[in-house]
Amino acid sequence: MNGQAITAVDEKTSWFRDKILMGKTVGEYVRSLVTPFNVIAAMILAVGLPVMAYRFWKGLGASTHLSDINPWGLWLGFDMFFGVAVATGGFVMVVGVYLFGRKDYKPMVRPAILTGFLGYFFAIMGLAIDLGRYWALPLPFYYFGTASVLFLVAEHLCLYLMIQFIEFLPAVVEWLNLKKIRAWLDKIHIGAVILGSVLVMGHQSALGAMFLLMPTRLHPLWYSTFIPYLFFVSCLYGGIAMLIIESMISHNVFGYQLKGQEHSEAHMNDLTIGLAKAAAFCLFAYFALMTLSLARGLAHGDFTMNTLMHTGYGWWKWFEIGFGVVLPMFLYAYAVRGNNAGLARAGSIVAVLGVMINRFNVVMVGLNWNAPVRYFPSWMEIMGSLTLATIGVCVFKWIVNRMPVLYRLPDFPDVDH
Amino acid sequence: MAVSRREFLKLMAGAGAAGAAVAAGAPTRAEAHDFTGNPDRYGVLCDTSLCIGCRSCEGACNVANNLPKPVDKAQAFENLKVLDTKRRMDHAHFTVVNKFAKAETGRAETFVKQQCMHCDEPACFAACLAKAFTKTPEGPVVYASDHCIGCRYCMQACPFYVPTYEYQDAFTPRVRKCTMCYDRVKAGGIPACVETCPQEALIFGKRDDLLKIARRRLDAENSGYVDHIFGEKEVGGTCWMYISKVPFDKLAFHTEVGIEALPRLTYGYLATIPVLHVGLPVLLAGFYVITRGIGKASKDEEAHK
Amino acid sequence: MRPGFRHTAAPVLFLLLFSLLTAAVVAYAENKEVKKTPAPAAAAANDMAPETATLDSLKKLYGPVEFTHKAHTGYAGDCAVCHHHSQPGEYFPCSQCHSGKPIKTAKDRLPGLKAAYHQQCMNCHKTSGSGPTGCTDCHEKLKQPAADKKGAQPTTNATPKKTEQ
Repeated sequence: MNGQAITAVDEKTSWFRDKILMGKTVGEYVRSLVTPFNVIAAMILAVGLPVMAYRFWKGLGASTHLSDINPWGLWLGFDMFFGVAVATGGFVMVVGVYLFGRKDYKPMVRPAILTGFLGYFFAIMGLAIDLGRYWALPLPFYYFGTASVLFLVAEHLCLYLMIQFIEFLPAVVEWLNLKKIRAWLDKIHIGAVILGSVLVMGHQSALGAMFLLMPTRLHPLWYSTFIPYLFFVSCLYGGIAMLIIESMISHNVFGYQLKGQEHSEAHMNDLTIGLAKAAAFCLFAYFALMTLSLARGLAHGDFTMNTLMHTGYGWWKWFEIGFGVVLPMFLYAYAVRGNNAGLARAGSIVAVLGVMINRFNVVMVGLNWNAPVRYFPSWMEIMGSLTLATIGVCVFKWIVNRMPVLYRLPDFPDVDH
Repeated sequence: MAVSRREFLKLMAGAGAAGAAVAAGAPTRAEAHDFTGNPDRYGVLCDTSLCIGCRSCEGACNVANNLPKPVDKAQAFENLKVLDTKRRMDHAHFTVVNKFAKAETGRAETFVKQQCMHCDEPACFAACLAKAFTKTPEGPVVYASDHCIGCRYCMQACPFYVPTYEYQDAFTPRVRKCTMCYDRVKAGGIPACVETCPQEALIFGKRDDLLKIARRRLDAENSGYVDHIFGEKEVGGTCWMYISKVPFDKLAFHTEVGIEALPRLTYGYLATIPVLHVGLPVLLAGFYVITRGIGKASKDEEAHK
Repeated sequence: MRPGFRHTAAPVLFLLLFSLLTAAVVAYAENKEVKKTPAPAAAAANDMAPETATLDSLKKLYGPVEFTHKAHTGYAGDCAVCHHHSQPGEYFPCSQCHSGKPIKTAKDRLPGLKAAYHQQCMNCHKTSGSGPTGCTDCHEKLKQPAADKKGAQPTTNATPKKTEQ
């Protein structure tokens, strides 16, 4: 489709028309923008962008419900912690294909990398709108507060974003037809993959380790010395589940790009089942870790059976595990056994919701649980998170519509490393 | 597998070097131990049984730190009606005094002054990724806004809920808290609140001396004090300490904090990072080398057919 | 007169006069806080106690206190209740033992003068449930707080090396 609808027009506009407008005239392009999704997105942005501007103009006090007792809220809980947790699809796919030799998943690598890159990018955007002095963000890289776990997170996130950009760059470069750069990128690819993997393990666990400093402020049902490992393992299956959801949506929305490629529905279903197996394995590991952590907490007297069985927090913890961990485990198990990709996709939605509930529980529900005043996001915070997510999806759409993500260009066949 | 020994070793060395390079920038336990605790450090002892709730300390703090002046009678520090509700510090009030009535304490009416505890191993220091907090040799923990990015991790980490934030500032919000009048202390003076207190409920001196003074009061016969110096051991020891004739949990003290210094809770995790950065690249490179033959081997076979 | 008498008598007289003068000055400085003088015998405390006393040695933030000394002898009953840690018949002003300086080291046993006043007054007012406990109940607030010893330098939130505003 790309590049083949060029009519005989003057060379000056043809690159723009070809690459950016996907071969349409301006009028055609604008008319094609009016889709149900775009209309809803436009409505969200029409409210959300002014809200963002207001936040930057009037400050956090005017736009959020943050306070001295509750300094962290939705933008960190949802955009940052949850966003980063489910953006690991890129890492999982890249490690699986290039380090563990599962070349059969090659078709999913590029979409996964894009999902991961945009996921991390917009998570960092979420962080940026939450920071009080966002313009000072480079400062930690000058002052090096290495006693801080958050420094580890910042350093790794920054480096990993660059790595993901490098991993996605081949798609951009192919789109722009820059053969020399493409060849150079091939050479550094494996190094980037390995370094990226180290960084992911580092920052995902560090995001959990941040809470180690708060034994009295985080509810004992969520505070545990295992937090770093719980966060890392949950990000593994969260990323895989997100990938399954993303491929489900992409193959519906961008189906026109897949004609003639090796993306038959049966093939994708097989890949989905394979991913579901991996996710189920990680879920089981997470369940085991969580059980061990709770048992240890009981044994140490961090909390009592009464807390677990008779308090609201206890019931909510049961729900988090039951709905967010056990249910997807069973859904995946049945999906694999019955070779039912639909069930795997349903399980993925539940798994992603489970990760979201867990991150919300740690950052907003369990944190400052015994404070006199509790936190609930303001409508502007909810709007802000929705806006960032919407922009992220729009950017994803824009890129996939134009760049060789779901398909390969004939000039750049898949390279075996 | 067509991997020459030389290739394999080169790959391992490269991966190890890359890992070591990243590990070099990673945090180590040693750096979290930057402050060793000057034995001559100062502190403040607060005897809550002497406090009469006059709020002179709040007024002196306001003047000494150039905080926004009270605009009307209701906000004036002479207004003792505010003691009828429990207050906490905010960006314009580094310290507050709270009243605990007889019904709440079970004994006498007691007033408690609340402000930064100036911990010996502060959680805020361990939280800050830009080294905005410093535990000075003199004792006070001070904050420098020129380092700050506004992540508010320090606020979240403090077990005493001390740091406050200028949420109303859109461009340059700062974390605000008691500084133990560090500039005055460094110049040989004493904190403004201590100087002003008419009852000498606050005593400024070397931390070791303060512990002796406190012990003496606690051990005096029929003194009526609770046999505990709050801050002596809490979270590894703080420079601001309290003695009281009323049990501390009745005075809304954070008695749930243990005696372990909070930064130490992260040392175990931080220590694994260098190992991760060196070991993992080597391991993953090994995986790559073993598995890269897959796919190629089958293509070779197809070519031969 | 024996010869040389003028030579010894004059310096001796001068020294005597000088020491008397010094003693008078010292005695006056010590008793500055109490306008009327002193020392009633224990038994006749009530009639001999001064009517009022002006406590104005700490002038920085608040005006002087017009202390109703006579009335308090009635409240206390016995002089030794307030003039504690002293022999009967010897009732010194507070500043005799309580220097101006507050407790700073473990060696200091006595609170400073300001704390001695306030603790003595306030403790009784609090436990007996009567008597003024507010600041301006006893001394009026001065319009401007007087400059303090260290020149009223405001503290800043700063790293030890740099200051920031």
